[in-house]
Amino acid sequence: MRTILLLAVLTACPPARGPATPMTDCHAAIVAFASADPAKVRALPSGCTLADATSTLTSLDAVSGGLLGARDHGVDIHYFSSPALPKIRAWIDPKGALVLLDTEWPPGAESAYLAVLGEPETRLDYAWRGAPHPRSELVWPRRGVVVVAMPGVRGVHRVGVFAPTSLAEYETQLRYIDATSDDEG
Amino acid sequence: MGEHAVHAGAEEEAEVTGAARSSEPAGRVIAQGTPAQIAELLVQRPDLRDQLLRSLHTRRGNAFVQQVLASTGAAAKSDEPAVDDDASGKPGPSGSRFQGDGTLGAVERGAEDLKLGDSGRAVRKLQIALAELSFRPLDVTGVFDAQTEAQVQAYQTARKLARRDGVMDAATFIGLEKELNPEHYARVAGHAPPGMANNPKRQRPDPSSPLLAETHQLAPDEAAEANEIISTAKSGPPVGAFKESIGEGMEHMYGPRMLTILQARIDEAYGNAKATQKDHDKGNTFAMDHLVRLGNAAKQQVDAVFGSWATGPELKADINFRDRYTADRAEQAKLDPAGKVVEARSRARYLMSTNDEVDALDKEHSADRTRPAEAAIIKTVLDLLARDNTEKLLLITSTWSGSTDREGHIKLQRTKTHYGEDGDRDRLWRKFGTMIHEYLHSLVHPNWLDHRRDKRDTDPQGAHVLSEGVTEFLTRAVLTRLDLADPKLHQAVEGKHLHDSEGATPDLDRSGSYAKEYAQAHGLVGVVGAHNVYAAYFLGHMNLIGA
Repeated sequence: MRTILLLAVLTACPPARGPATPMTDCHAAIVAFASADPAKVRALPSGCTLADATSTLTSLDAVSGGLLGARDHGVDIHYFSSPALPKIRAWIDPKGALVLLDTEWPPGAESAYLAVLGEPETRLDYAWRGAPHPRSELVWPRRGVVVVAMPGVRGVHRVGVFAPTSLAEYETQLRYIDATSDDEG
Repeated sequence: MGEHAVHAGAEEEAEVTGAARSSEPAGRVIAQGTPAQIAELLVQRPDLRDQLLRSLHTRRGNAFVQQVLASTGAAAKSDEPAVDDDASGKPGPSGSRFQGDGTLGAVERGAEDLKLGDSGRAVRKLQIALAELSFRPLDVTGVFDAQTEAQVQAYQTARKLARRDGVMDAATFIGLEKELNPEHYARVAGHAPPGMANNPKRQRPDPSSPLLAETHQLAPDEAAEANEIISTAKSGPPVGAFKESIGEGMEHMYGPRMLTILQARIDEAYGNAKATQKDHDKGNTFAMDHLVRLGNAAKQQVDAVFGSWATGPELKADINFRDRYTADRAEQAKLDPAGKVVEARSRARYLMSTNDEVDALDKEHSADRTRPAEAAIIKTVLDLLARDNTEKLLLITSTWSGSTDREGHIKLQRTKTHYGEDGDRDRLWRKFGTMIHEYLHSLVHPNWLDHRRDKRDTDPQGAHVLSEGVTEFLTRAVLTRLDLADPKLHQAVEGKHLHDSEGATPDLDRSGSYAKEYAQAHGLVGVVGAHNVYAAYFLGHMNLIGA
């Protein structure tokens, strides 16, 4: 009887997790992002980690380095996929926090995101393929969403989700800046 | 005003002492004065400056001379020109890191020596070079002091030169110049302290990094010279008033001539692009997994040289390593007509900024592309070219050799040749060189990219030197360290095209790649030193190259 009771207690108590966020919130946000459905897009809860991405998405078993905003340190990029998105990037800071989840060329139009999110708080200039694209980075910092849609380019170039923050914090901690060097070779 | 290479040779000693004696106050000040008093005397009597310094050195020692010079430094520097020393027209050594330095050109030709008591930028460059060759301690002061003399002497002794008196004469200088080659630059990159491997990329430079131990802070005139040596204006005389037309008719006008030159360049590049496209369509390409192995072999070679400064992740297909043609065509397909023109214009601008004929045209018309009048014409030319050649320029872009983005993601062409196994093998070794270059791009610090971007409008050539010249400079350093007898390296590069006969030496010559930009980057190293360039490129300490 005591053994059965102990077993029941152990089964009822999930294993201890990180401090802030229940597994389900991060999991749900990542699943929503991975669905590539603009209607489901939402911010990441704060406190998500690489483990949340790994347990939710299919790993492509690849890591590279990236830079965001004006952070002191570079950020690791881990690559995943989902049935709807062939490549999802999980940006992991040196403490292991999942700070940004993004993908390129998701299905869905800019208008679909605007319908769900309304007008963005700001539209920043964006550089892509060596050319400037004014007001093409649509940012909803307090809703934790960025969408890049450039005039002259079909479809949405990039969509990303992050924990809600201020615009200033977004620019210094989360903004992705593209720059390419060519080789004559 | 030329550079002051202040001479006060041993043969002048008696005269100096006599001069000091004949002027009792001066003699007393030299013998007993404070550094400030002597500094004042030096400023009052520039005609005796050299002799007084020599006398001072003999009587009161090198440390005291340094104190005096520190007191006079500000005034002395304010007398120096903001840029190089060649208003006199003295040619500098060609093809070396000391290019453009008239004083060192004179030393190379045997017309001058540098020795104790001399001072100026030429001396400073020699101090940087000697320190790089491990002749230390040697403070970068610009003054040929006792410490400098001792290190020149140590150099002469170590190299078993006939002259071992600490005077930088032609033979000593030429020997020094020859040592400052790509192999040297690879070697000094390894001077990093132990434990610095896999130095994580930081966005904000860390002033406490041990990697900065062999760098030095630039004096204002040194920073100005560093900027000048890489700049657009470096290769020509000062630009005067813009001459939009240099004769009668359209064929003598700047805009139409620029248009003609660039149209010809586009047509030529388009011919090559069509051939590359045909190869892709026919599947005449190297396998992606082969190129990934080649890319990682390139990474391994770069890491072996510069790994203490920065490293990047392993290359993986379709993650951070992609086929350029396929990736670019896929992205270009998403552009609508207006977007295509924007991208085409970007390529037209690149072709303009890398064209020697355009540089020559600028000289003929005294054109400075950053001035409003010229910039307006350039804008019209680029708009027209992009509009009329949109598809051509897009194809040129997608068939370009390689590229690297800010995240270190590399794209490379996969096309083979039409010259059989030998041709394909040669091309693979060229791709190996390209991959070294591209991987180095992937290691560049974001501050460097930002500085380059800021420079692009005001000094396009300077920006290009920072982007490609310095990267090519580092590439050639890495290439000197390859073990070409290593069968694993051959296997990684050649794959199934592996040469079956022994002794096949691959052609790694990159002298045709970015020749002008490479030379200017080498000149930058001559002014600020290799360690300063590495610290700026990899760690983001842009002040160390004069930013």
